[in-house]
Amino acid sequence: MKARRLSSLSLLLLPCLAWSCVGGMTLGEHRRELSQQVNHYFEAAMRCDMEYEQASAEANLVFASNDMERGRYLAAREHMLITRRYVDLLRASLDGRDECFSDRVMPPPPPCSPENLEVDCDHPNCRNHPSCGPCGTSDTVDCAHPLCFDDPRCAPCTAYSGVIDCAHPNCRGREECQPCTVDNPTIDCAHPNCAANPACAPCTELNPTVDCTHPNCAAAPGCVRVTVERRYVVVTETQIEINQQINFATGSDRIVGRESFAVLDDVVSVLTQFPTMTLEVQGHTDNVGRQAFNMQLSQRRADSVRRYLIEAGIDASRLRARGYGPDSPIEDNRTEEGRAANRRVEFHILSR
Amino acid sequence: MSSQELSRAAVDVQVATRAAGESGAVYEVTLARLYLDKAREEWGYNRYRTSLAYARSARQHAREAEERVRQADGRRRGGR
Repeated sequence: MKARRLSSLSLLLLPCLAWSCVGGMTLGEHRRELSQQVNHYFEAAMRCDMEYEQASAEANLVFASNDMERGRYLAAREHMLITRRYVDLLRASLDGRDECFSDRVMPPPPPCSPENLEVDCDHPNCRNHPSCGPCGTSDTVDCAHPLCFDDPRCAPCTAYSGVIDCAHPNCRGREECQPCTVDNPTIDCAHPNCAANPACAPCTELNPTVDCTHPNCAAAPGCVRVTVERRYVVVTETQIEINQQINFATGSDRIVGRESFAVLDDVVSVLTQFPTMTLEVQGHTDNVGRQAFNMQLSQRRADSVRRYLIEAGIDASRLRARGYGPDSPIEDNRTEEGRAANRRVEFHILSR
Repeated sequence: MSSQELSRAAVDVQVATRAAGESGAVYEVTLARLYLDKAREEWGYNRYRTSLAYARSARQHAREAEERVRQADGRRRGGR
C-alpha cells in the first residue's frame, strides 16, 4: 500500500522535474539564465584569477544540457545546482571589481600611489615624495639636504655637488684627480705630474731605474765604486807604475817571490776597475850577456806576466806582451844598482 | 568503443597539467579535467557514445591548454 502511494507520487514528480522545480523555473529557463551569467563573467574571470570557477561553471552547464537532452533530468538538475554555486562564487568575487571588466572605463590611478609609481611633482599626491623635495625636478638641487644624499646629480664631480672624490668614477679625468695632486696623492711615476716626486726618484721602490749619477743609487749594484787600496802600483797618465819589481828566477821567465805576485794582483785590480783599459806588458834586461838572448828572455818574461794576468781573469785581447831586451835602459849598466834597475817589467797604458 | 580514447584523454590531460604548472592555463586545464572525469563517469554507466564525446572534448581542452602555455612562454622569452 505504502509502496503504491510512493510510486504514484513519483509519477506526479517526474513532470515537475522536467519542467521546473529549480526556484520555481523550468530547467530550460534555469539553464538559459545560468548560461547568460556564465557568459557575462567569462572575461572578468579570465582577467581576475577566477579561471577555475569559470571553467567549472561552464563544464557543469554543458553536462546539464547534455543530460537534459537525454532526458536525465535529475542529473541535469544536479549539474545546474553546481553551476549555480560557481556562478554565485563568480558574482561574489567579481562584482564591484571594475578592473576585471574591460567595457568599464577606469580612471587611471593617481601618481605616487601604490597602483601608479610614476611621480608627478605637480600632483598633490606627490607633495611628500622624496624626488619632489629639495632634490626634485627643478634645476636647483640642494645637495646639502639629507634627502639628496642618493641623488645622482649630487654625486662627486657633478655640476651640483662641487665635491671632488677622486675615487668616484665621475671624477676620472678631472685635472684635480691626476696623480701627484693635492686631491689625489696617488703616485704614478709614469705620469708627468709625478716627475718631481721624491718617491719617483731613481733607485726607489716605485722607480727601480738605476741612475748612478743620482745619490739614491750610490748603493746600487752597478754604481758601487770600489776603492781598493793598492800598495804596489800607481796609475799615471801613461803607465801603471809599480814600486816593487817583479822578480824572475835567474835566466828564466818563472816569476818568483811573494811580493812579485802581490804587485801583479794590484795590476789585476787596476784592470778590473777600468774594464776598457788595454796594456802593453814590457820586458827589459840589463846589457849583460848576448843581445839575442836578452831579447828572447825579456820577451818570455813579458809573456809570463801577461799569462799570469790572463789567468787572473783579464781578457787576453786587452794585453800585449813585448820584450825590449837591453835597448831601453833607465839606469847606468856600469853599476850593479843600475843593472838591477834595468832588469824590469813595465805596464804601459795603450788605451783607457 | 574501447577504453583507448579514455586513456588517450587521460594522458593528454596529464601532459597539459604538467605543462601548465600551477598557475598556467587554469581555465583550459580545469575544463579538460572535468570533461575527463565526466567521460569516466559516463563509461561507468555504459554510455559509451557520450563517454567518447566527453573524452574527445577533454583532449581538445588539453591541447588548448598546452597551446596557451606555449604562447605564454614565447611572450616571456620575447619580453626579455
